Amino acid sequence: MTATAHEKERQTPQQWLSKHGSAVASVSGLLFCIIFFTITTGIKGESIWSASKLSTLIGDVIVTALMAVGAVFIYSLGNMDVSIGKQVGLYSTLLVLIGNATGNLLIAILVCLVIAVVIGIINGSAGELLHMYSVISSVVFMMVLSGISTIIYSNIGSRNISMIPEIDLTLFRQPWFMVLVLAIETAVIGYFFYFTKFGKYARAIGANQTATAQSGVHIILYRVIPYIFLACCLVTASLFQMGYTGAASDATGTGFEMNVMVSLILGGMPLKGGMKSRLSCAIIGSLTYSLLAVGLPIIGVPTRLTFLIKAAIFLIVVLITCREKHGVLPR
Amino acid sequence: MKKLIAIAMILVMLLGISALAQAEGKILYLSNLNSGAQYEFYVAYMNMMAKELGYTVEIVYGDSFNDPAGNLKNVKNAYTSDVVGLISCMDGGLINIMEEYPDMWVVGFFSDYDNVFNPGGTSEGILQKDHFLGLMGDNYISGVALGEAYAQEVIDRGYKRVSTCIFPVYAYPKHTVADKAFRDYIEKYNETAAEKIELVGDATVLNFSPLETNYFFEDGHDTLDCIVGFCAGTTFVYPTVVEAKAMGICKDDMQLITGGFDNDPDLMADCGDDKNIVRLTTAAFESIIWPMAMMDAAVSGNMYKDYPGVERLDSGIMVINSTAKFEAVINNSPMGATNDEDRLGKAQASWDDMKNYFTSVNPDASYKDLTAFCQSFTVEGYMK
Repeated sequence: MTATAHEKERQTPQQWLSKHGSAVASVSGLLFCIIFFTITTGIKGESIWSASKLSTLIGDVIVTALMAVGAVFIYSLGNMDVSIGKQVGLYSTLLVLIGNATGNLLIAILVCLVIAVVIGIINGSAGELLHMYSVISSVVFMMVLSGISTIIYSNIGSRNISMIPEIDLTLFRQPWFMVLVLAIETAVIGYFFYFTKFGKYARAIGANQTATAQSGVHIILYRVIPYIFLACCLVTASLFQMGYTGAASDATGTGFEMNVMVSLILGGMPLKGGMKSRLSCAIIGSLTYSLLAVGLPIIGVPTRLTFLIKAAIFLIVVLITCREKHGVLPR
Repeated sequence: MKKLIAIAMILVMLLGISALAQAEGKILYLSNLNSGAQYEFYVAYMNMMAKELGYTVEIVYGDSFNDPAGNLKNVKNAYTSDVVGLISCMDGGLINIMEEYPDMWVVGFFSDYDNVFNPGGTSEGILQKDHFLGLMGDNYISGVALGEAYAQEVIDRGYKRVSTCIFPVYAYPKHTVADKAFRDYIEKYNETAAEKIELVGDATVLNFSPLETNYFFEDGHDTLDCIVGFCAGTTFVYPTVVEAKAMGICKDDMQLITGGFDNDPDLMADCGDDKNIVRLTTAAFESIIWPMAMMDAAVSGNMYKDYPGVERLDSGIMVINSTAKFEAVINNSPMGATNDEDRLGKAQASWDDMKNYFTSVNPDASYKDLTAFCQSFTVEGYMK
């Protein structure tokens, strides 16, 4: 028996809880929401698990979850990417424009993938090469992409554009397809995150970059690869975002980076990244967030109050899961 | 004892069910505002009408940028099985909302609905849907009417050097139309005027960010008499004007003509003939009677006999362009009220005044009369 196994055996429940407190809190939060809304919406006579509401729930969660799954890699590095929203906006717009021009969605997807990967490579490497915080390059991209979006819509002469009816998007509105794609994406990202050196090195860089570099890990390479995973996830999310209405606008994607951040934090993701980063944070967090968004109106909570309740829950979760041992929040 | 409790519980349940049965259903209001005097009044006024008619009203906040997916998501999240209709101040994604809920009645309010009524708009398809009831817009629907009204104000006030600000044409095509109509009107005036009005430069396009201070360093802007803001000038132009005056980089008596309403006390104190803002144009607040009446007619199955089909209508138009009118709005209208009772008390129409325009109350009510009634509200109504 190895030393680690011996340690695990010796763990008391208190030690285990102390080590996995944030995971327990986030799972408990999700379970509480599930039980609470199952009971209360049932009493109201409009179950949250009815076919129509389940479809609404899946539609609400899918884009955020797809993005958050990819973002886990970035957060595990201790980084965050604030250009996520603008990237999704641009890819949604390009999907419509190229799809309409060529009549072929596949070409549009490939073009978006190429652009996303290029942005990912620059985003991932700029911080290390230029000796600056990685978030800075994503801020630059956020502004550049915002400008490009403005130019595109100015030239089109409209704030909204829609896909030609010849391209059938009904598949992207099917809840079963949403769940299937999310499951596949989670499985693929999960494999790379937990069972390959890409995930292990990403978490190691988040935990201690100096030690990781001294162990012979190529820091730039293993910082760039997570961004490429994110790029693929963002294009997938853009497909569902655009497919939801068959349209895109100059505002598509606005604030999505915050949705991702809130979901990951609700799911118990450590903001500093590192070895405690878990892929489950993405799913748990985005599901909890969407359950609140869909469940609260059913039980009669006015929309105005739902924002307050979500903010209060977020604050409580942050205080429980994100504080340092000596009692302060990370920067 | 147990039997008594059981009977009491059954009675309570039956009372609850009968109370529910009285409700005609829920109306969603997809709002483009989430705070402010206008928003508070709309909510209070709709709740009053809904209560009289037996409905409930649920506020849903639209996507701040009118994004189709954002609006659809917000409506889907708020939708419950008792929803019968949607009063929508947003047109982004409206086609998707109507396709998702084909039995829900939809009526537009307080927006231009360019995505619906302009050829090629993303929600154009709803014009073919029988559950769409039309739109009462946000003051003038026609950009030409708005431009000419502002031009006449400039002429009446005797300004000689004027410039304009608009939002980008892709987002607000009406502003570009209004700007052209404004310039045409002024040029026509100049043909016979003894002293001509100079239009300084082309319209400045504000990309949803405030006018920059260096605007006044550009050619001729430091000697402007007036800026005409077709965009939301109280938010995007007014603060810069105040700053520029404080810095001494524009004329002390330069003034602003614009649209919208903001009950910020500091801003309202700066409105009047000799103040920074000399004219505000906004939709008459009581025009919200129109979408409620249309919704009631459709839901109750008593559609107006003279209903001609979907129309895009001007709302009542409030032209607030004198100190007396600004004072009337602040003191006598719901915009200056601090609680719902006061808001309802200061409205130009009470339930008794309006009820005969609702077909569920008066089956002989006429669509033509309803529309005329809702377009009749003006600022002068608060001055009586």
